[in-house]
Amino acid sequence: MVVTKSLLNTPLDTTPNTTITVNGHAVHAHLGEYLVAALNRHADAMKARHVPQVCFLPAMGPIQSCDTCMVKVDGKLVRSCATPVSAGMAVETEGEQVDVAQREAFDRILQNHMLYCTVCDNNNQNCTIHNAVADLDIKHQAREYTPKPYEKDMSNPFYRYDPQQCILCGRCVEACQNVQVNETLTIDWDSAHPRVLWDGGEKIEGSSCVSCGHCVTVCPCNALMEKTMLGHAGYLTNLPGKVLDDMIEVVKGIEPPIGYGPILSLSEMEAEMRNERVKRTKTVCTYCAVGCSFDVWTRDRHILKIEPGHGPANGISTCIKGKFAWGHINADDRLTTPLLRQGDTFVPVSWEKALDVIQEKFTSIKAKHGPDALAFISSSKTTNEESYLMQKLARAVIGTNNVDNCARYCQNPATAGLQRTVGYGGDSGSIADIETAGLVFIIGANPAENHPVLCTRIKRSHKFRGQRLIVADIRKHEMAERADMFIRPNPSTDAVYLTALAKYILDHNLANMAFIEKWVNNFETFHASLKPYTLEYAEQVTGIPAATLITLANEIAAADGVCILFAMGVTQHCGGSETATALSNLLLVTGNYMRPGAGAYPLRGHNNVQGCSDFGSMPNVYSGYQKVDDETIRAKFEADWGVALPTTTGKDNHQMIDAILEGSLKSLYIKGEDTITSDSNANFVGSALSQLEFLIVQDINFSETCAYADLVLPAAASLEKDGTFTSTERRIQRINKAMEPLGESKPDWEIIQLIANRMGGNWKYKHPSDVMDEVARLTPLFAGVNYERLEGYKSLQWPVHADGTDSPLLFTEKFPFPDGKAKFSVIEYMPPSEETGNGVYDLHLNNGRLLEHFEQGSMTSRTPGIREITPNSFVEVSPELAAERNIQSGRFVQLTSPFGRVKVQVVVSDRVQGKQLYMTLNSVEEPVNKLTSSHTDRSTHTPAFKETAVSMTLLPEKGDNPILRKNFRHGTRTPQMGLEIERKWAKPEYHLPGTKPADKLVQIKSITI
Amino acid sequence: MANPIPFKPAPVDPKHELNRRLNAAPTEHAEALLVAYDLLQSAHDQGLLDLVNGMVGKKDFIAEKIAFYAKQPEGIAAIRNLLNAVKLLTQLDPETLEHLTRAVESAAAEHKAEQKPPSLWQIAKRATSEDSRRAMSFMTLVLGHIGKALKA
Repeated sequence: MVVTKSLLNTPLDTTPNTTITVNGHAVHAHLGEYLVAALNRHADAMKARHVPQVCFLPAMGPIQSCDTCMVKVDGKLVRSCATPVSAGMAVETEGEQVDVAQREAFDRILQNHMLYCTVCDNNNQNCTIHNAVADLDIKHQAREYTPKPYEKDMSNPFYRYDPQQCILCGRCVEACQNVQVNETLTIDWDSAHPRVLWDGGEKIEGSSCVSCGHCVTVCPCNALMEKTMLGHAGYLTNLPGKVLDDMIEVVKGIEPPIGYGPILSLSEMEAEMRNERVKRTKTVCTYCAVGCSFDVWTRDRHILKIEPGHGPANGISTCIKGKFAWGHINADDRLTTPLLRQGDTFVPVSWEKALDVIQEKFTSIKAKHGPDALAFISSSKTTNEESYLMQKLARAVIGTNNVDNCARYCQNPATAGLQRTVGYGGDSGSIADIETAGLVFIIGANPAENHPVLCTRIKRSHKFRGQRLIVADIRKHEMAERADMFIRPNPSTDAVYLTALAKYILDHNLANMAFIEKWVNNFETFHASLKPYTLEYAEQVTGIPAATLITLANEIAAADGVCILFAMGVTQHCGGSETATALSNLLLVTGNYMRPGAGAYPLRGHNNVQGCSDFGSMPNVYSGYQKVDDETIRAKFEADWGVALPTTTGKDNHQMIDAILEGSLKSLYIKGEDTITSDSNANFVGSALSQLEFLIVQDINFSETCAYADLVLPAAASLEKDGTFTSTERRIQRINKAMEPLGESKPDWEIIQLIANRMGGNWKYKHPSDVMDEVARLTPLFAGVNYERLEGYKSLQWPVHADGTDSPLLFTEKFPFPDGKAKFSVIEYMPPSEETGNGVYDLHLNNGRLLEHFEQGSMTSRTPGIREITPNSFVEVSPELAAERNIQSGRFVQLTSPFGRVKVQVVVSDRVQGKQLYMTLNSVEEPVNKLTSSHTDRSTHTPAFKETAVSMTLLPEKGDNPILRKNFRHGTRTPQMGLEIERKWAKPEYHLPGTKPADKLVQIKSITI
Repeated sequence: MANPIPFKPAPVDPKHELNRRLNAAPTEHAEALLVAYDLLQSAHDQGLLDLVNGMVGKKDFIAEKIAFYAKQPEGIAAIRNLLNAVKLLTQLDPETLEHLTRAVESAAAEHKAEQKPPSLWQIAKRATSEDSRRAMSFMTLVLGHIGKALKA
């Protein structure tokens, strides 16, 4: 049996190019597509009943376990899910033999699943089993339901598995093995009582399951369910379990004579009634920048579940955070009223009072010290519209360009490097391009933990489509383990080997000279600058053997499309911009732009860090990267806003801190950012914040930065407002309000407008769509963006032209420079700012996120299940260093740098090597930024978080391994190519339904009420 | 100058949130609310509110009891018999039932009007009439079908 896997981010081509007959009628279809898809389209067009299908899910392709999709093709019974369409095939979906086969297959399923829909939390009109019973008009089942000898598994904090209800369709296994590619789930077909297994065992807790939620989402019944649904979804489902069991027994007692029809009708009424109190709202994930979108089901403020399905970036996929980490929405320590500092505490005040204070302070500071004494930090977690209004408040109302956002801490070097070379500082294409690339080269990024859903596409392509995978990192993470080639350069040396690769490729005639000649300027100067970057030099600096570099160069040159994915391992260095430039140069040398399946992909971190910069929260640009010091541009904004605007570039985040300490910056308004734990050199930043005359912090929780504030403003969370986010794909998507803001909190855009109007702004926005309309009017990059074009699951990838056409792939016709060509940019290698060696600070400290947490864990730690599996941060120490210093996992150590110290527990791990440490970010009490310095990338002032030298002192305290035993990192995956359904077919008791006389079931006659 | 102050906001009070929503409820619901208040008062005066309050408060206990007795063999039999009775009502031809009803009414009226019991000869003549033979045919058909169903 040939197994092919479809692309997850590129819709299948279903353009009719052949004709088949279905029950004697001519039907158009696409050669090679799965027959069931063609039959489904035909049934929709004819408003007819679909062929039954229980295990088939279009997103995943055929699994072939349920056998309910049986049809006859050219006289022979086949599974329509796995039969490719061929020209002229004669299909019968009706007739006795087909009917017998389908009903026999479904009867086998019902032996594994008890129907009690009316009291089932999964009875929400989307239950595949329930709907199949209705579609087939099943009256009763020949095979009695047979319980299995397994208990419910409630050990995972987020979902439960009920083997008693499991129909062994294998959708969960297929999703885990081949969509998420975490390869945890299997089914033991050879057992007397097959069931789903986790790492080959019967318990979820402690397995390699990363709680991504794929299995729960695709489960066609209630075997796998979100715990937040249990007892909450239905009208009767919160009755005690014993009562429910008794009620089910009653129903089973009376069903035989009347058939399933009447009881099913009752359940359908109950399901319809649920729509009165369960709201389904489309939103976009608030965590990382992949831009997963899904429906959030709520009953009042209770979040029942996250249901993905139609998101253009993610489809059916989610990760642990997007699927389950929403505890911060209803956390009991949400900010609900403005808080004013009084003495050594904060007191709740009214919004009127808060606005009075702001008006008074802003006015007096501006009058006394000028508008540049005020500064504004916008949030990468809030919406595009809120970013735009924040910079408009700063510029049009206050009169300063001192506005920035947290892209300063992470992505600006990537943007700078790409803007220099190809003109746009965003992903060259879409996730669909990454999925189809011939080679994916991951540099300084850990997408399996930081962009999990995007990474599933790489894992799937690598597993099934022969995609080559190369990883360059100082730490051996999951993708490094999976890679065809894993190189471990010395820290902060990526620019050197990347440039050496470009030189080697040019010197050995492997470059795409036709592309260079047609599309790239400055080649001669660039080529001359490569002279020092010999393989020998690269080996000396990076530690990568020359032979390895040669192999790498040849891989890149030979690949049919190279996507370079990079993140903080590239950007958070003194030479971050240079490294980003170097990798873009390499892509230009090899012609890896202007085509699908290629390009540069800076993997943005936050859900809206792309949008926050796009919409102008930067000191040197308005929305769409239009320069503030360009007279024509400025005049356009002045005309629209009706005010004179400041003419010079403002201060970025880093410069703001210096200006505070220097005394020229008096006031700071921070929206949605925990600056003290996010910016580098926390103690230094803290000393600056302490000196401010007036600090406003606006957030959903009382963060560490709030502790420094004079005024704290309560903001609404993402589920409590409308707006848009822009993902790493440059994809603009709508979020929709699912519930009212808690207490007196308000959406950030409303707060900013209130402040602006107190300061004389006279703004009249009634809804975020009004803001977007203004942005579109003023910003060529977003000219065609409006809310109507973003309804539902529709999205737009900028640039968006006035007629609404968007740009999934950049540079299809030219580069955005005056002559349409890209530009090689000469780089200068910047050695790391802090050398490690034999000095006091003899260890290198790398740092980064964990899959289950987001940054410092402010939001994720407020989900009890996440706290349960990963309560603490930790530092990874290599086995060789641990042996040298007699350290075991669980030992407490003090890490000290010239800038501060933290106390943290050790995990001995071979993910790191030698004297390199890796500390996780998930702590606000002991944040890694107490150790990081104020060294920055010279072009963008992004802190060099990844260039930190520390010393390590053993503390007397010992504890358990901070990675708890129940954490998935202790699990052992069980990879296989899918469900391995052939093992079920090989069992002696199995036969294809409809092929034996006994398969014809006797259906009782009964009325359907 | 502001040194950091650790602070924990007061826990969110769900009742406060409900009060806020209640107070913010639009006045367009005022008429409905007034009618609802009248209804509530009436129900309270008749003790119905107390009854419902008790039933709702003890919903789980009541449901447990009902489910326990319903699942007993007698309970299952009662429900099935009820369903069969409903089935009978739905499947019985209304015309036939109407004729039967009218027949019983007419016979009862005639019987009531009789001064003394008829003679054997009169009864025999009645029994062998076309109408009586028609009725006996119906009754023996019913008997036969009952016998067949009991055999299954």
